[in-house]
Amino acid sequence: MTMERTDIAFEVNDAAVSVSVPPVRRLSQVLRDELRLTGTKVGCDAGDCGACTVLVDGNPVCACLVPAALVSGASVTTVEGLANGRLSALQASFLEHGAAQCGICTPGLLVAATALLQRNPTPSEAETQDALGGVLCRCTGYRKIVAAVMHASQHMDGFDRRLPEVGRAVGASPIRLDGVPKVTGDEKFGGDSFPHDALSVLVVRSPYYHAGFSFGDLDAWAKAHPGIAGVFTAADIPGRNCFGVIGPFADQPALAEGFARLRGEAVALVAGEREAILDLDLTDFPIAWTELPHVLQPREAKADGALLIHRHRPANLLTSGYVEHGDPDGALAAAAVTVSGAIETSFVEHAYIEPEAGFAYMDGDTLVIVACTQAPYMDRDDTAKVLGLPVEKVRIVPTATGGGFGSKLDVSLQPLIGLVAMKTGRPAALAYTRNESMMSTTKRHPAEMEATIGADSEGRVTGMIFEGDFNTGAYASWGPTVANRVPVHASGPYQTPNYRATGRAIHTNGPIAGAFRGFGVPQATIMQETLYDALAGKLGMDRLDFRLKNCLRNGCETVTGQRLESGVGISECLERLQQHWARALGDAEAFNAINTASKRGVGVASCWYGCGNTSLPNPSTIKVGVSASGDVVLHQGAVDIGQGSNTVISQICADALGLPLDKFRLKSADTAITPDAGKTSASRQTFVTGKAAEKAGRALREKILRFANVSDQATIALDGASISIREVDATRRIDLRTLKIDADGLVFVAEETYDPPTLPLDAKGQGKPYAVYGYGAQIAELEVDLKLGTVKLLKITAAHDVGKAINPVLVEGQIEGGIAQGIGMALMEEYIPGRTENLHDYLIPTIGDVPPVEHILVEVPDPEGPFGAKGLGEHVLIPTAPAILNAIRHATGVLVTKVPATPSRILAAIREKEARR
Amino acid sequence: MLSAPIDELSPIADVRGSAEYREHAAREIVVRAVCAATSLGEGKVAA
Repeated sequence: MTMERTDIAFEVNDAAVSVSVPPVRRLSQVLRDELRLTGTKVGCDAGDCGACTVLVDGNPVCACLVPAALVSGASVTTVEGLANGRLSALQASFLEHGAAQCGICTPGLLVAATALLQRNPTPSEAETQDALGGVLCRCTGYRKIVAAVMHASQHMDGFDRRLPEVGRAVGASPIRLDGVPKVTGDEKFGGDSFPHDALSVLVVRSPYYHAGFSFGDLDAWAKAHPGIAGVFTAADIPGRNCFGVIGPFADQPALAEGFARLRGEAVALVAGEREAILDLDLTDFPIAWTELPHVLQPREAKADGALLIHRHRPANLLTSGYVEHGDPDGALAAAAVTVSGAIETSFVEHAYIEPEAGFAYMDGDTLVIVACTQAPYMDRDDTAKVLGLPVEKVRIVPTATGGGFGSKLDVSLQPLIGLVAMKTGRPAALAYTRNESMMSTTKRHPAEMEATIGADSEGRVTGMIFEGDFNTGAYASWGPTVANRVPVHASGPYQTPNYRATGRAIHTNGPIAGAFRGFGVPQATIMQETLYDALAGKLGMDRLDFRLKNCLRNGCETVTGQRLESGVGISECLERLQQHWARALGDAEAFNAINTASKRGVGVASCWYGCGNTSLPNPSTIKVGVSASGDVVLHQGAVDIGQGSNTVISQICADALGLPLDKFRLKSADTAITPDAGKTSASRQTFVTGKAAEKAGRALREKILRFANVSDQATIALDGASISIREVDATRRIDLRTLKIDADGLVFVAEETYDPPTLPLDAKGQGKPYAVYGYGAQIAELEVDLKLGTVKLLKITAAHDVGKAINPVLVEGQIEGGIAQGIGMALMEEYIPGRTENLHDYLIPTIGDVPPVEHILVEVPDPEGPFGAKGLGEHVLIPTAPAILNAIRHATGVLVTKVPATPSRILAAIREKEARR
Repeated sequence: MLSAPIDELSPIADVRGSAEYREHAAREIVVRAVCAATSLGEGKVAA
């Protein structure tokens, strides 16, 4: 039944507006759908995330919780109203501080901060945190946001783009090239540009972990509901109803056929006019469910006689990874000291603030999908397969992506909206609700791990054995990658001459576990680094000294037998932490000497992480050219999900080419116009695509120099529509408009591909899985309330070897954001299907949860990386959780072995220890 | 400070913590609030 409409008049950004909508329609919907003010974002529709924050008569509110009728006669300010012809001081400050990464939360933060600054132009840190406490950010770790707000008053005269001189782009920190739309509200994310005439799509999903289902009379139901254009099921899928990110393991239907393997699995689509879908009640949808037995824990799933979630996978084992080096059993038997332990971790939700969203339409016989993603070419291939189209008849146009962290590598809504567009001939639009985003998309694998590590009497690690079961949920997704990456990394960045590690991905009826910043390595590192503390304790060694004694160095062999010839920076990271470690230990000791109710602790942990695919091809291609009008056009297909690839890849290319950054014009990812730069994952874009950009820049320079018949000592410069080439005292000027133009409008062009040199792993996991590794180490300082079990983080000190910091401000942003996610993993994040499918039961760190972060950028160049650079996107999260757990143990004497270490778990562990006395 | 029944205190158990933990925490927080209000220092009371 359609709701009555009423006319509501109010002001938006000082302009009078009137809308005719149901009085209870959310203000956020009115702003976005009726007034097309899409700068106001929707992250949860429940007042949890704050992305939709607007000012109503000067006061910040969540627009998703405000009925339209309530603003009748009021004055509303959105992000679009903050700039008055030029950026506000706050917007400029956000850009200069690097406070916006993906940008989806930025409008809400800017609006909330504007209200604060209007009453207090120079707020303290605590005042800023109080004012912004209701707005969640998943990328930045909040520290740069706090700084931007506190120092906004210093940016009254506009902003400095910090554009570097020619040849000095690498190592400079220009503001992100795609930054301005993120602070004005102009950036278009997945749900921000739906066509007016698009059909809206609803997804019918399984309410059960495992259930059979059958449909009733779908046609009759559709006819009985005005405005419904069609209902689509698996029977309507024209291609192969099976997708997956790793071809040989592909096992997931776009729409389930006859039974569902997980809660939230899509079984049918309802497409209709927008207003009809908004009011649609699906309780009478004709589907009959038969609930079936299910398993949620790996130990149940691998037990004899357990139901098989996929018939062709015995014991519900998706796959396993294995690495063996030397004689681990003999080494442990002969070790002077051994320690053993077990750690269990939980599902972790990516919790990007932008739920999956996009629209599809037919352009002739080509299906075009405009949606947020991390992997446009993979989306294209899977969508084409499901919909029975040749790949060249599917075009993926990525929108800005409001956070991804791994989950937007898998297709989600692409085949669904594609199917509706193909079947109806009309554009089809879909934005997942927060609930369905959390139910149906991938998670970090929960892990059940055991390990033993031994050392000789001198404190040298002699052997390690690791076993881990990873709950990969109902479908394969990236489970094979986790199972294979974990055994390679479970030693940590330490010399471990005798080693055996097994990682198993085991199916359950739980959420699909896939890629999430680290592919299982953060979990395994908790196991290894907490045992390292125990081992140091048994040996009577300082914990940092113990790590320094054992860390990898140039010339060392890894557990896969790979000799690391150069570029190993973990010792430098640990050495740079030494003075901080001594100071922190002293501070904790002094505090603990006079306090009994709370105790302070200090923990340290390291990381290493191979950049790119594990022993698999992983190419990126970059095209760059000079246009007839004198611009450098960079076809930059590495999707920027907030980490900064648009800027970093351009900086690398600029210095390789020898032209200034301000001449660069970006053509971002689009499978119809940009070459494949691979997926944004595995910390590969700076290294792999950056290397391709370096090669392409050098190749373009070479072409220009050859055209001018000069040596490689010449310099080039663009001046309007001409290019000048100077060698010694001679200068030649070429009018670009006189040269032959290609189909892209380019007069000089180069395209280069780079694929990291790796070697396959043999049956014992021996080989060269990665061409480049990055390294890091972090110290956590915290205070534990011994009666409540609560943890107050005091400081994180992070030393990361990035080879070469291409853009130091962006590197800092990655470090702070990774640490925030590590804090969540350590202390609060636990996704439980059916119970935490929203952002009020599932907690992520807020602005008050992230302590000061001191970053130490270590630059040990890797000869393989562009200008020596290594990846860092995942590295920065890995040490945080184990450093925190080690600090909790230092403070309390107890190790929490079930992560997250919630207050109740910490208190229970303290009480258990006291009971043992 | 003596422990006494608080009938109004009947917390739920959920994924964030058990009812037992919540009751303990609530008592501890009340004790601290009372101590703060009466200016009693740390170490002079027990929850």
